[in-house]
Amino acid sequence: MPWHRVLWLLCAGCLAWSAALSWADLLTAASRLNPAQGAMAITAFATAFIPALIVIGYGARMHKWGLWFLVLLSISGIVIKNLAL
Amino acid sequence: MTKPGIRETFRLHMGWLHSWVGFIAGLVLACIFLTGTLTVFDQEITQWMQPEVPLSPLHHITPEALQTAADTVLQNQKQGRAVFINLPSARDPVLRVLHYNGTAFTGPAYDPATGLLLKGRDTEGGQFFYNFHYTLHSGRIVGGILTGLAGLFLLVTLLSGLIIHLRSIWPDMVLFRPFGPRPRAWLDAHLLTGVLFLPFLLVITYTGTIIQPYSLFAQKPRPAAATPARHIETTALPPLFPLIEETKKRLNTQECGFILFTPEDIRISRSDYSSLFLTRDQAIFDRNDGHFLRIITHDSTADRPFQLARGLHHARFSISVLSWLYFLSGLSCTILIISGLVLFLIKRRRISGHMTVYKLAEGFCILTVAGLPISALAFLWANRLIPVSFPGRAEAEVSVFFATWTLSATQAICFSLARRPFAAWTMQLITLAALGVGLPIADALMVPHPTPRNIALSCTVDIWCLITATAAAVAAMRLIKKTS
Repeated sequence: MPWHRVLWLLCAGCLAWSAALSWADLLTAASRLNPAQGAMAITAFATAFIPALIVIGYGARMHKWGLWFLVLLSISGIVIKNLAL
Repeated sequence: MTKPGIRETFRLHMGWLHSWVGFIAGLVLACIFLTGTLTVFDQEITQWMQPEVPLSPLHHITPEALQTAADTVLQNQKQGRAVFINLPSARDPVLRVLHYNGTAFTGPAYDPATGLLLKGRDTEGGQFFYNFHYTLHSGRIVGGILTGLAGLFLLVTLLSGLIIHLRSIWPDMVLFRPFGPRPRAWLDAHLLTGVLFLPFLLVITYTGTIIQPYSLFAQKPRPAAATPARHIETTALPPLFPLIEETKKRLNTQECGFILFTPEDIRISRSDYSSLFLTRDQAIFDRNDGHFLRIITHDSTADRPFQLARGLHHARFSISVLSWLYFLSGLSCTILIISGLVLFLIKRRRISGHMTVYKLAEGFCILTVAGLPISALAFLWANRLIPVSFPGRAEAEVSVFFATWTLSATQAICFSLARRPFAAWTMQLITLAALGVGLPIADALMVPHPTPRNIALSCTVDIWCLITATAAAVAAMRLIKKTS
């Protein structure tokens, strides 16, 4: 098992986790759900999008801008969330 | 001409992701799916494991029977044990007073018409598989995190698998060559089950991941701290029968599920069988005089999707035919995962077969694919062999399960490291076949079945034991033929 692939997968996993969670958090907070419903919504969104983002993130190995796309996505989620809320 | 090249590379990347994430998560997922498949019939497994409890047609519950159960509740509460009453249903037509023993809900059963104690052997029954399914017997937090991660990895594997096979989905759906060369047959089985049961697999994986009690993503707010616990009342409870009738009216339901007791109140919940949405709505009554206090319902729009997810995953609403469909779909998904694990090893045997990591991987694969079913059958065997009066027999059955699995794991890993994996596969498959063939015989010889429904249940379990034994025997014979 080539370790650079594992590292890339870990990176893609962390970024996918961060991106999905920050965007899910942003969307649910903007919807003004109560905490229990917010937690459910975050779980539902994150479970749906993290696998997809991991696949995209790992597939982005073939493209030089691929990983940057995920970095941008996760940072934008965090920044917008902090500006908006 | 760059586009076709890029697509091909993307599919190759997905192939690596699918193989490795699929294999590592697949070892855990095979356990989760096999026990989850058994859990579809958890109550029936419990009934099979308590053959002394007669399964008569469902009678209406009587006030006398409820009073007997209430007396048992009080006795338990005097001993400081938290218990609740599980009301009879069409699937489980007896009244049960249950407590949590650390891993499962167990307790005595009563006839819902007469209130007579139905003496059944002490067992965790199907609850054991249910708890193993979502905690892996490693506690609710650790197990919840592990199964949640396994669910996420399965979704990654599914997506990458879809990308790999997108171009040939239709041919994959209709092609199965069981007597073709070995990798071809395993690949056909993998693709056939993967494509045909893809919608079920997606739904069950997604709902299973989001309904985990310990979410990976967002901590659900805990209810406000309760007022300091008062002395637990152990005086007589109010009559429960009128409370059930009132609950049915207040919650507009035909059936009630549980009666819970707190120091202050009595809570009667809607039956899980009454709706596709698993709501657990409750009516609350005063513990002293039984007057109605309030109802707790979860019917906001935001709650409904989660209730639907729980309902779809637990499938308690389902009629018998639908339960069998769930069971067969779960079995097919288990075959999908197992065939993926075997395929992973076959593809790498020639190049990496000499490596220690490969040998370990094969050992883990054997202990999952053959060892877990062997342990599950050993659990059922233990239920028949351990004397009914044996102290702590429920724990002893669980110990037999894990002791058998440990033996299987030791044999699988030692033989794999000694470059004799086929011998390990063969021995374990023959053991599985022997246990599967022997269980119906042991069942027939050791246990009388009191009612026709008990006999039908026993026959169904016997048939599935024989199917398992036949599949294991065929696989063992093919393996012996190949290696001789």
